[in-house]
Amino acid sequence: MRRLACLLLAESALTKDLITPVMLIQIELAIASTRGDRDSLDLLEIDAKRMALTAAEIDAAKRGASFDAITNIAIKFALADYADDAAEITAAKKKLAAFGVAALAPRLHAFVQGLKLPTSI
Amino acid sequence: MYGMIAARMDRWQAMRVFVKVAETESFAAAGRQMHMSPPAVTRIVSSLEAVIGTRLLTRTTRSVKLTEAGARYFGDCQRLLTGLEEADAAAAGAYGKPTGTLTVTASVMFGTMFVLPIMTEYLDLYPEVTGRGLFVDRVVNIVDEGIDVAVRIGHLSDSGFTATRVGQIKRVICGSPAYFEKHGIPTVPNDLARHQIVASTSAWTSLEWRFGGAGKAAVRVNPRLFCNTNEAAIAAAARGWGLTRVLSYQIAPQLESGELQTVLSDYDEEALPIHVVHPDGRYASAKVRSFIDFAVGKLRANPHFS
Repeated sequence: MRRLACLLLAESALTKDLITPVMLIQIELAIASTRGDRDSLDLLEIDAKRMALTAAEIDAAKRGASFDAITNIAIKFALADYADDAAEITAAKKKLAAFGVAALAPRLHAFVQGLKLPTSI
Repeated sequence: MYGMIAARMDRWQAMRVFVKVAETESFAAAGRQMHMSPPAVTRIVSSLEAVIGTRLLTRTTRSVKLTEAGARYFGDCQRLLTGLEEADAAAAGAYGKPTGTLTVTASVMFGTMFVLPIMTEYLDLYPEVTGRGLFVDRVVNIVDEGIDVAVRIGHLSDSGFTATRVGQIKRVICGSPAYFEKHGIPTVPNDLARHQIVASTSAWTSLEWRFGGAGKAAVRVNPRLFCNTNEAAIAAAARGWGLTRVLSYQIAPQLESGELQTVLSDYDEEALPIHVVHPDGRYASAKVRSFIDFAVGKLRANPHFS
């Protein structure tokens, strides 16, 4: 039991490190692109360039992908979660588990919920 | 008037001959290099000495040496002749038409993937220029090998050449999605110990893979497959056999298609700059100037470097 707790703690620390500002900005670019939110995209692109992402990496994020393996599946999960697409969420969760980073899902979910526009004011 | 100009032209020629004799320490060798007979060389240098009114060279049966006045005059002639050549080249470069052979060097993959398409497009625009691409994975001596333009990746040494930065690239570790599904994804550099590694043994590769980020770690990898080209290592990785480390531009098409993905991106080393370099400074010829303008614009527009 104690061993399991240690493992969970270790995975929690690991996933915390894996979710980086560079990953998050690519997720934001992907979601802003699906929304067609030009103003947000312009600002996000400036920030992404400051983080040393290349124009090709920014374009990939806007297409809902990443050259980085973990960020790529994180974006897929985030887009599915943003769209409340249950089938895609399940598929992305399976992929995260296959890559050994299943614990990313709840943290990404929390991040995506923060990006959702309020339905009423 | 024409006679005066001709006389001045002869003086430049006499200075060139004198400099060549001083450099080769031989009338015969200077004559060979300048396509003149030894007596003609001797006559020109003697005329020069007569005009100046002092002895410039000491002749013995075995060698030719500069006198004290000759040594000073030799330095002055070199400066004047260089200035004259530079002025001619500047005028030709600024107003001339690109002609002649343009030699461009780059590494094999960068040259093939990015420089060659630029060269062919450039040659279509300037039909009087002939191109020569020297794409090799070794450090090319720009002056010795007669290079007009070089594309260099990495930090430049202080060469005195003119360099224009066109972008940057990173060293990346990559594998195929199928490999990651089977073997998982390394999340820290030390994880590489439990992965299959393909290493390229071409130039500039090391089995000690260095990482940037907070830790600045270095991991010595134990590859199970060595390939003598980057292309082969990339092909093995794309087949899902293992992970390899390359420069990001080398897998640009595979990254775009999703055939390969990178890992450990948070541990990337500092990016390497890409420069277009040429040795002629502001005195570059028309062909060099026009090619650099063309190539810099094209390379800077590449989304993988910017």
